[in-house]
Amino acid sequence: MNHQPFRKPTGGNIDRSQPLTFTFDGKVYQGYSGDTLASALMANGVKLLARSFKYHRPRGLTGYGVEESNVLVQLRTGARSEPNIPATQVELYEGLVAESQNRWPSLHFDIGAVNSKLSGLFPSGFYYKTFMWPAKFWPFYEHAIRHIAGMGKSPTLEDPDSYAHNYRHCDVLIAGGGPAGLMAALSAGQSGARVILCDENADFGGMLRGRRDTIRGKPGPEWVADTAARLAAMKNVRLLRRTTAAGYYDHNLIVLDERVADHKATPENHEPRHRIWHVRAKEVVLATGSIERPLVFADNDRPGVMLTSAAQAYANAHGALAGRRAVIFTNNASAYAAAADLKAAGIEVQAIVDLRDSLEAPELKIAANANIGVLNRHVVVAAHGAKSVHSVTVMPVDSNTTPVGEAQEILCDVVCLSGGWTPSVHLFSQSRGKLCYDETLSAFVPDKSFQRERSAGACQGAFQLDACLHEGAKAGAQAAVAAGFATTAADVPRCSADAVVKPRLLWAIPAPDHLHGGKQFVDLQNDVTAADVGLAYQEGYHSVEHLKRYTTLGMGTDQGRTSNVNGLAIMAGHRAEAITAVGTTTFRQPFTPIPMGAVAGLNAHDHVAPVRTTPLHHWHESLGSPFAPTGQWLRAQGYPKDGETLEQATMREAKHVREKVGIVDVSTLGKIDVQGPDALEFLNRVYINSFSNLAVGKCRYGVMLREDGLVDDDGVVTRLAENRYMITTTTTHASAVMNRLEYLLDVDWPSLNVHLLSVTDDWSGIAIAGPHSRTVLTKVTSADLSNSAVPFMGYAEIDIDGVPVRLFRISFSGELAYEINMAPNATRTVWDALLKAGANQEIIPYGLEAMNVLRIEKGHVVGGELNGRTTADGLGFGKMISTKKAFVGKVPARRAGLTRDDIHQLVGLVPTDEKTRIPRGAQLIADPKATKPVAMQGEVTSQCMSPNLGHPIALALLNGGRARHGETLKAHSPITGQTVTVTVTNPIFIDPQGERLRG
Amino acid sequence: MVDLTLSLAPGTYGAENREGPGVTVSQRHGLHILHLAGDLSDTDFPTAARHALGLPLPQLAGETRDGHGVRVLWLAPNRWLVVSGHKLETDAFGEKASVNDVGQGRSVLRLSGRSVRDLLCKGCPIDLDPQSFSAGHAAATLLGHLNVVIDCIADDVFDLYVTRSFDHFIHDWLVRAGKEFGVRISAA
Amino acid sequence: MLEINCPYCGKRAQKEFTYAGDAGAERPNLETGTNQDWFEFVYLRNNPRGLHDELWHHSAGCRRLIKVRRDVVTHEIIDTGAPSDSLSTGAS
Repeated sequence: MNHQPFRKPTGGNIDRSQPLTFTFDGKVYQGYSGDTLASALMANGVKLLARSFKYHRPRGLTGYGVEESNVLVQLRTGARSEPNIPATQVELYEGLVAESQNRWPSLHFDIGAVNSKLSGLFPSGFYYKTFMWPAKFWPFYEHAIRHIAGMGKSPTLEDPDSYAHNYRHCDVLIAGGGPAGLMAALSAGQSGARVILCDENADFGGMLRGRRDTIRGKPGPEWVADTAARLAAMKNVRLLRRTTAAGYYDHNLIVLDERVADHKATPENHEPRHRIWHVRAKEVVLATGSIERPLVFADNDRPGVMLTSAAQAYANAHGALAGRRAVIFTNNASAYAAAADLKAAGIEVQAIVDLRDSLEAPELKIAANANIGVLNRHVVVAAHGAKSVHSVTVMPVDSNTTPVGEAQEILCDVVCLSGGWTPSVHLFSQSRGKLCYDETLSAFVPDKSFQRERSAGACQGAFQLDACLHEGAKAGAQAAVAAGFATTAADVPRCSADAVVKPRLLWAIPAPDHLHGGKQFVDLQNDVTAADVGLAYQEGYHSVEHLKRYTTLGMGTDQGRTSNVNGLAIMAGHRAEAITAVGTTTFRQPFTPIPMGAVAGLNAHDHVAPVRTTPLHHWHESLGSPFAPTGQWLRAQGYPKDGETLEQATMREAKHVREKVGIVDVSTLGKIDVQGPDALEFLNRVYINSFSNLAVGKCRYGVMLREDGLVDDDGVVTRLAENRYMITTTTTHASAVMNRLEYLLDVDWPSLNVHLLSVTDDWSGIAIAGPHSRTVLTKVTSADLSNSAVPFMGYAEIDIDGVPVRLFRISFSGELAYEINMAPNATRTVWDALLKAGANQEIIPYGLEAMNVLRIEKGHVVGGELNGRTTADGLGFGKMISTKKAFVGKVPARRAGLTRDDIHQLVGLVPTDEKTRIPRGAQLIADPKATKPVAMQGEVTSQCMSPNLGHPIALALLNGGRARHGETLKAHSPITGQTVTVTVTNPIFIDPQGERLRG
Repeated sequence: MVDLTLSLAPGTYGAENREGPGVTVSQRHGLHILHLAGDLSDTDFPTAARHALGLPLPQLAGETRDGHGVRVLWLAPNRWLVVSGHKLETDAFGEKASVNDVGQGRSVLRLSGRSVRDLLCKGCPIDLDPQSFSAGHAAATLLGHLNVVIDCIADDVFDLYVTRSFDHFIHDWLVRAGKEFGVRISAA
Repeated sequence: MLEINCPYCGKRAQKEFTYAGDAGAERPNLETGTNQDWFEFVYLRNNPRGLHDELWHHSAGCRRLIKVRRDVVTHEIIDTGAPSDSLSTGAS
């Protein structure tokens, strides 16, 4: 297990003194610290690493970084298992466990591979065309298709790790820490600007990590280490490794995904696994580099066929050899230095097959020095082999780049492709910058910026190291100056020269007849071939967006990094147009996948929404009350005792309050303090009823309409002083009502001198209700509570057990009742005082459920009735509507459609058998057996069992309901399937004259 | 199911560091807080307020002023938070002022320690770098889901004003967000 | 995610704000507005391409309503101010 047959004995940026053991598909291997899973597998000679998505063809590594299309693995096991991770992006750690995906039962014997033999049956659009009928069978088809064509498996256990977000501001953000990004950071950093430099890899360096360039006469990685150290010493520069600039959003907001602990078996000492940075940058430098392009020919997906730059980086950075014998196939000069590197690393380079006619002196010199044969004006037309490539067929091409003449077979176990370079313009495009097509580079490059950013280096087509260093230094200085700092470009070090990339183009190598049938893959991850692009064209999908969706080209997790340009160019060929005319598909965030947990951050589990608790929360909890979420609040539902169910407790509590006395926590009601000389005028404009004659020390019920004339909310208005009122709102509408009142004051009536403040939390609330409530209250206060001193809808400021409180004589239950508001810290004192003082009257606490029963019995409306579709008159507030003053919603409320007799009006319902509960949400209809569609006449909005009446009751909104008391209807719930025969009644079931609450 | 009570227990949570917890959270009790609203352009009001406070009202966005045991935070145009250790009479600000006693409707949490800015950055979108937000600055903003007021007392000391009913929730949030730095909830 | 310059608090993240509607819609006078005026105010909106005046509520900040002139194609914010302010056209 120690033997790593494809590892050089020396060299590379790995630590051979730190061996690491890992498991792939159940087999144990060894790699070194500094390896990725990909480089370690390569060093161990494991070539067959994946099966393709659709045809289940054997696949191996093609790339070195984010561009990897084939080798996606299921990483880790159990709750930490993650699917679809490119092996190139996984840093090796001790004990790492990974599995290949999309194969069954194993990589070497995969039953799904039969798809490959039947591939004639699976062209693009196959699923759409075959499984479209009958529609109801689709779920079945989908299940079967997902089983054979899929990616990894989502973990089913809860993720044990935490994820964090982080909001930051900076002057200059630099995305990409290669030579251009490092120079940009030096320039910007020396200006004193706040700089963030991020790079997706474990360390900075970008392309320098995998090449043998020299800077200041030293190997590239040494210059990188020195520069990183210089930057780390600058207090104003923040260096972020393992951090991908994943999304570029409006107003220079860049989202970074930092993989804090992905390179460890488990996060340490409570660190998050990922941290999502939301960086608002004044200026941005994009130094995101470029990705090499593959070439398209028959069976170009065989394991061992890979990007030249990848094979070069594995050899240079990890001492890992892609094979023993290589053929290099290129259309440009950049592959020559790579070929020399491979040769130096010990790989026999059989030949450089170069599409170009004439070669330039520098690359010929490299080949000659390395003693590598060059076949110019030649192409690889096909690769051969199954689970690994064993040879290629090479042919000369004529001046039209058509393969002609004698084919030769060259033995090899690795084929390195270099089809030119694609600048990584993803972030630039996300920022809505415009691209243009550079004919010389045959690549899309940034043209016109849209946001405050600039590109530098290979991501804008400057592929030479010297250009990257210069452009980076310049861009960093420009960004700092634009952000308001004075600086000039940092000194640029001298470096070794490298090749000028000028590819000769041939987007898909035509296969000679005797090789007919070999698939020419364009998109390896989604198994899209050159023929599929042709089929899309033939079937009329000419636009790139249609091409993408029809063939799934570029829709994999690699976002088509290596396939898009080739696919677009092939389509352009079919259309006989320039690539510019075809254009590109939209680049979308994120650049690389971000785990859902990281997106959620702390906003997961019970932090999805905030939770509010009242000052009595712990008291309710100690009595075992369950809690109901009401808006953000948790409200105590009731206090079951002696084995009661909540329902039984509710019945007991509701009955007890009508007969004796009870107290309930009403702290959650919205409360707004309204002050100022124009407070009265403001309230008169907002409510349907007038407050002009409301005396100081009195309360009045009020209803607000929306601008469209329908009811918005209700509440109680109390005049605390000449120019000061407190209004209450329903618990759930509190914030919306406050927002609306603020809007009216700021936007529509700025001349009114009124100050609003939400005081919901500054005053807690207890309601005491029941025939004995006054008796109990008089025991805890010396104040006069007689009907003449505090009549119904009266208000007083009194002391309870030494606590100053606001006392409102209002009733939600229909009983003699008071609402007490006090400073929150005193709530428990008052609550306990009432319970103690009421012992002789058998006082009880009651919960939300009993309160709801009491209000339904009394026909009070809440959320179900205030549903945004009811009129004031329909809810029975018609008499409150002022005819003397103007108020919001007055004119629209008079529209014919809202004043007809047959619109929804509030009614009560009683089941004719006096037994069956009436389902909430049920529709009121005449006859469920009538021919459909059945006319819906109304709906049930609230329901309960009434302990005081001894039968179920409900509130409903019924067309013209007020005139229909006594009618019999059916309440039909399609959800529960129930149909209940009901009688329409007055919605006030108890004490319709209101004698109790005035008692 | 909601399970928010656990983290209210005093103690140290999360990472163990040699230097001790990166953040300490303690509740500030016994503060008297008034919400003051009034029209600055009406000269009676600022004059009365100055008389009541012993210092002029801060008028710049996010400005705070200290003196005579009183700290005044600018919240919005014509709105301030007046914080003091002693009781202030609500009618001392004159007839033109709208005053509410909000001392018990706000939880005031004192956050301190070397990691306190990093912790706040996990939920607060404003620029909290020392060069932008230092002693003398306060801001009404967001922390996670919640509307809060953040008042910078010293380089690594902040007061956090949170609506009282979110007290459990914000403690729970601070513990979750603070675990990576180590967070100590001190006894009430 | 936009960055909105609150005329009172300074530049703040969009998440501190709540969109509060079209600033161009003119509320009819409570006393004299006709049914037709209200109908147009409540239901009819222009949907222009380009510059648009809108109201935002700084709900997690100063709680004031502000007017924002935004290019709805590019998201560029040309100017902000109080609801009654006339904003710059950005032409200069």
